[in-house]
Amino acid sequence: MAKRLLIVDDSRVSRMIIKSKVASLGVDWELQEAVSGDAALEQVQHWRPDFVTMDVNMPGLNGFDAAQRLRALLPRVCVVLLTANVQESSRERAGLLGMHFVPKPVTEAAIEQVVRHFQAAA
Amino acid sequence: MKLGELEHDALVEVFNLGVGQAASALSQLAGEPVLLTVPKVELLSKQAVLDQFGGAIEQRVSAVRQSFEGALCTEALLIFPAAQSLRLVQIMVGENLPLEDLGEMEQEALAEIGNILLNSVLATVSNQLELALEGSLPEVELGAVSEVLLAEHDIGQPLLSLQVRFEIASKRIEGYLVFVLDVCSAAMLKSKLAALIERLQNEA
Repeated sequence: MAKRLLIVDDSRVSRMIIKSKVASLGVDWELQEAVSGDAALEQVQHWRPDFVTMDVNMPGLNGFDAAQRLRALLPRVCVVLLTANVQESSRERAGLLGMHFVPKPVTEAAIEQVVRHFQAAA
Repeated sequence: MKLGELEHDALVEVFNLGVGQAASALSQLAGEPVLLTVPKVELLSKQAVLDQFGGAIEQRVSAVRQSFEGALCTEALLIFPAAQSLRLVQIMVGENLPLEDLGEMEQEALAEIGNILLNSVLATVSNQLELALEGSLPEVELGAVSEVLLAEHDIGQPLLSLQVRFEIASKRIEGYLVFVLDVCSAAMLKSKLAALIERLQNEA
């Protein structure tokens, strides 16, 4: 069965670029998008992802809290924080939560790093 | 807010590092070097900041605004001529989408570019000064330089202004990163700068 990737980002442009760069790497994963942390939590009730890219600064629930709640619901899900919030305090928080951290911008190199992390975790 | 010479130099250096990070992010997107000026740090009124833009003050610009709060309160702006905004968007989404198809997502793309660049600068400032900042969500504005810069502030209020001009030569894009530090954060800023200077002196 194909792996499933959920892209959580309030920026439509970021979601579009992430999708396009993941597709260009030739992985055959099913992709879905969520526009916020709250929407992601709702969505995983009926579509269970294996992997999640999570923005941090979003309206409503922030990415850290959303990721923690997602993991409580789906303990085996692998989450990568993909964010412009590159403060040391954010990296440290990601580390404490045991989540991989990849800084934006969403370049090919950044998405390769994300995909490799997911493949290693699978 | 009055900064000593060392504090001033340290603040310029911290923002210089931050702007370097932002330039690196922009350069990754553009695929070419981004030219920058050294940040100019001055204690000015908004009127004086406006005066620095001279004849360009009524030029129509696109701006992305984000507020950062914590040990520092700062309003951060990415400003560039409105006519260039689609070119900036194309840098982000790539050359595959024609300019005419970008209009629909122009605002969102600008917000994300602003988000990346302004966070790059402030994250470096935050890391160097060892303080945590909470950023608001980015907002896109369109208007004259004067309207964008004057929003929500008294024109006579003294502010610590940092301005950097950037240019991506082959894409014919130029703009400004402007950081307006509220004087409410003066005491904390001075103490964080003093700690940084002490660390640097101990390392020397």
